[in-house]
Amino acid sequence: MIHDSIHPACLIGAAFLMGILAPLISRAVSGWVGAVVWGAFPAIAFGYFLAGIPAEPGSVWRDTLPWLSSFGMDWDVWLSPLGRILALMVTGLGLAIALYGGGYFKDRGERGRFFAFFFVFMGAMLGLAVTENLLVLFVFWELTSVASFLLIAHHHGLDESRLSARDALMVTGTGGLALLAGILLLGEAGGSFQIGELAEMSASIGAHPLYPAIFCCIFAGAMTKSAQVPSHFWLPGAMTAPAPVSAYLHSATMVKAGVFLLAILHPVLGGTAEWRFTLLVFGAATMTWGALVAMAQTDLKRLLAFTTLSTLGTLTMLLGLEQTLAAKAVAVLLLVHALYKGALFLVAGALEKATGTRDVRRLGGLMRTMPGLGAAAVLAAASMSGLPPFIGFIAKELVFALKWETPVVGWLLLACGVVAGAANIVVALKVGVTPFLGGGEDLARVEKLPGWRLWLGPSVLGAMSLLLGLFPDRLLGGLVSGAVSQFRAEEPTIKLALWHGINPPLLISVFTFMAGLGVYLARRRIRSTGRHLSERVGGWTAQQVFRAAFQRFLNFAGLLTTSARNGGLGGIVTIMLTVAAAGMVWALWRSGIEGLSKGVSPIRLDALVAVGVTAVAAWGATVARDRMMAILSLGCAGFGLAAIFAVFGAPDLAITQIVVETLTLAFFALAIYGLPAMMGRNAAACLPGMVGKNILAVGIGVLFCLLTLQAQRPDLVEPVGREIGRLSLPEGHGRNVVNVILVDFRALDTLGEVAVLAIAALGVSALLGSGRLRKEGPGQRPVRSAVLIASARYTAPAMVVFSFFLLLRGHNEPGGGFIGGLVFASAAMLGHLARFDGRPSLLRLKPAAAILCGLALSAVSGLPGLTMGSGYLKAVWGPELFVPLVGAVKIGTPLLFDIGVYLVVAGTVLMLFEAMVCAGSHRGRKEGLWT
Amino acid sequence: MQSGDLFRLLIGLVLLGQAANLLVFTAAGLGDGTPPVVQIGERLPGDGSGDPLAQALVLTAIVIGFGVLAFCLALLSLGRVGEDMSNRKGGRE
Repeated sequence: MIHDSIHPACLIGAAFLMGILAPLISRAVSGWVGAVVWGAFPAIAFGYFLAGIPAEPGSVWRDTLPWLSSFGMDWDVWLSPLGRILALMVTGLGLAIALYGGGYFKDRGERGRFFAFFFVFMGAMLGLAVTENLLVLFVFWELTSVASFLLIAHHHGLDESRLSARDALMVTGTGGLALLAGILLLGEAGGSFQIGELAEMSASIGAHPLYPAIFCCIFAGAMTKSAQVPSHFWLPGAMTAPAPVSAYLHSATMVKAGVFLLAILHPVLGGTAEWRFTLLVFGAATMTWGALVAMAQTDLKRLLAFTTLSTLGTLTMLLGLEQTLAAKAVAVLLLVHALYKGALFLVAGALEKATGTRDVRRLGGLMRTMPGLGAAAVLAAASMSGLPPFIGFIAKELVFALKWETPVVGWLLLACGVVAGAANIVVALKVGVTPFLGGGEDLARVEKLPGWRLWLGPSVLGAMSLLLGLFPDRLLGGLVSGAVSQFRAEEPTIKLALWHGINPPLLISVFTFMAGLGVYLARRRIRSTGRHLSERVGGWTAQQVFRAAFQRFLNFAGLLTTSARNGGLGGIVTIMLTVAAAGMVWALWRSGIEGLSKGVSPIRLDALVAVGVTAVAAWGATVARDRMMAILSLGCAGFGLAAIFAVFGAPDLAITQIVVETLTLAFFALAIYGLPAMMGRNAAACLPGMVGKNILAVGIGVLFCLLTLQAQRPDLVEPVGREIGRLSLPEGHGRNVVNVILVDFRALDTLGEVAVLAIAALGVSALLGSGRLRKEGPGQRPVRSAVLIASARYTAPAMVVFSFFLLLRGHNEPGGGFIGGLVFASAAMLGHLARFDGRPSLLRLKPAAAILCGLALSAVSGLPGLTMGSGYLKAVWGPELFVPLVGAVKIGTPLLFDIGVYLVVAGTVLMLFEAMVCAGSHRGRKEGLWT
Repeated sequence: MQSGDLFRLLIGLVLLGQAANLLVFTAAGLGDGTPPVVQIGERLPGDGSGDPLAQALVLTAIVIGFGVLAFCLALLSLGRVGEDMSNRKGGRE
């Protein structure tokens, strides 16, 4: 079988690839070559799905590509009969549209844009057709919505285009969300996301308490996609798209996706009273409403769009009838409608190109100038009217026969069906016949004859309608029987035939045809009545209601936003803190506070001192009025914190905190240079009016304290840290567990973190400007302390050496890349502040280069693990080396990674420093503070 | 943090960052002061040692907090709007 040699997934990948390449191709080719290039992929894909039709109608080809197996999200590919019909429609119509699009879009850029989204859409649609796993299917489903959005907004300069595209995306996107919810619930109820497995569980799913919710959500998704009343309005709106888009997405393929979904889920969800009732009601309503509105339209594309609605309603209704005959009718009608509606949309586009109008009242007598297009239009219109011997006739007879046989509601459905059938005939005559054979006054002139590509596609589609009608069983029998067997377990023999003799459906057909003809002849009078009616209900079309509601929603959101923020930060912070406090109270209340005392350990004197210093210093920092005092208090608090870390057995943290605190002090000092030394009283801390804020602050502190105590309860969870500690030596080859975590177990996190650092540095240097530091020469010397200069001369080089030491021993003892890098940067800063001549060359490290090298080194160090097959950033170890002073150092990728971290951290701090000093010196010079 | 002054805001930010680090550190459980380092000859870190994972998280948080602070300081010194940033947009506090 062809699917075994070429996987369907390759085809979908190729479609996406075509989409990506389309803008380039568009620039390179046009004319004949272009037609071949654009048409090649749809033609091949069409042949592929045609060749794969199995000899036995009901058989299904299946394969599974593993993806996220733990979430039940594997790409289960299947080629079900219905899926194959959809795929054939997508590729076959796609071929016609590809030819047509090449001639329709003259501008190369425009053509590239169209084909890019066109092929992406085609890939998504094929994915939808061949995917059995509902979660993966949902991905393709949403992708078609996005592609549709982009294609509707093709003329994005026009307001109406953008609004329509937005409406379509909002409606189908909302439906998509509902669908996702429905799929998740279905997975919950059925224990699987695979349609085949779910179908076996259908009895228990139907009886499941979640069934109504599942059905509602999934139906909402299908309903919005297939434009059922009342979410139908986006489809006529989407007619702002170019004609090929309307022909392809909004008549033949994408809008069928909802019906398709309902059809393939019928074995899972069908057979219940809810299913029957809902589908019948919505289907019949859409069918009738679309037909009634269609008859009053004058715009070619809107005429077609409303009959599309009507047909989509018919399909939904058929699915609700649930008989063997219904399945047969759905399969035939899907194909038939795609053929004639696609052709007519293409004709409408060509007419608009030729005459500049889509108003059917201004078109007439064009058969003489455009015979090819006219022939195509007449063929398609005949199929749409349901005339024998076209395939449209078979579809219509099937639908009527079905309604005739349906008990109770059959008569009502039949009445609606006659209206829909008559509307089809009226529209077919208006679009397919009037412009070519009709006459009239004030006709639009033909400005430019359409090229061969604009009539070839519709002609082939029209001819297909005729061909399929003449040999229905030979050409379609297999496909349709397969589709029917997918609906129902028993497999009746399906015969398609054109002529069934004179029977009730035929008589109804004749009656419908007469009615349609009558309406067509009286169309002018009907139109004026229709306009009168629509003026009556003016302002209440679904589209206007939706847009008004959407605007209200935006206004409401704006109101909410402005009421929450008054322009000051304090208000927002207050709200945030209050919400956080409420959340914490709730969490504490939930978990109970009786276990709090279990977490309290005996108080230690050294810890008490450290905590006390920190607390007093932090308080001091908030109330100080002298800036320098505030900074120094802050530093004190930081060192106190470092002491706490040290006391409680975290030497790595303590060292890091000390170095960072030193750097923070220096940076603050640089930043406040030039600001007035004193500042106003801290309003929040002192004013009596601020009592509320202080209460809030203290309350939050107390709550956090309680929460932390709660976290100490040993009975809650087993910390992961123990397990990591156990693995550290045997797998990480390091004795310092903290460092092993950073550079090995969670190296990817660390890589992200150093990248953040690098970005911060780049941001600061972009804000303040850098790189000017070196050029300034030794003119100004901000620090003139002899002690500092003398001591820095010796301490700075020592610190550099010490930083290497820290780096290398980090894996086994406290230290590592972060700490080493910070120490190195401190040394370099010290060297700069003291500005002694003849600095060691190491201190002239270029920060940007260091950051780049470091990031690259860290990123590259992950590659060996990848090539060894164990995954990115998995450690690969080499031999152990003996380094003097440090001891044994094991060589491996984590060491390289740590060196990268070291370089990034050092480079970042230096870059920040340079930027700050630069800004400071500029400011200082401007204000005459520096010489 | 609720003060209107931008400079104080930064000080508040630093303190808040430190407090958050301390919170994570203590919430993971305090040891008796033994560092989470496997001693020579042993296979496991000492019994009373704290949670190394939390320490690793806090270590990177300290450094990143520093990066963010530097960024904010750059904004401060760039704008020179330290004194009366508040009350500009009609904020009533």
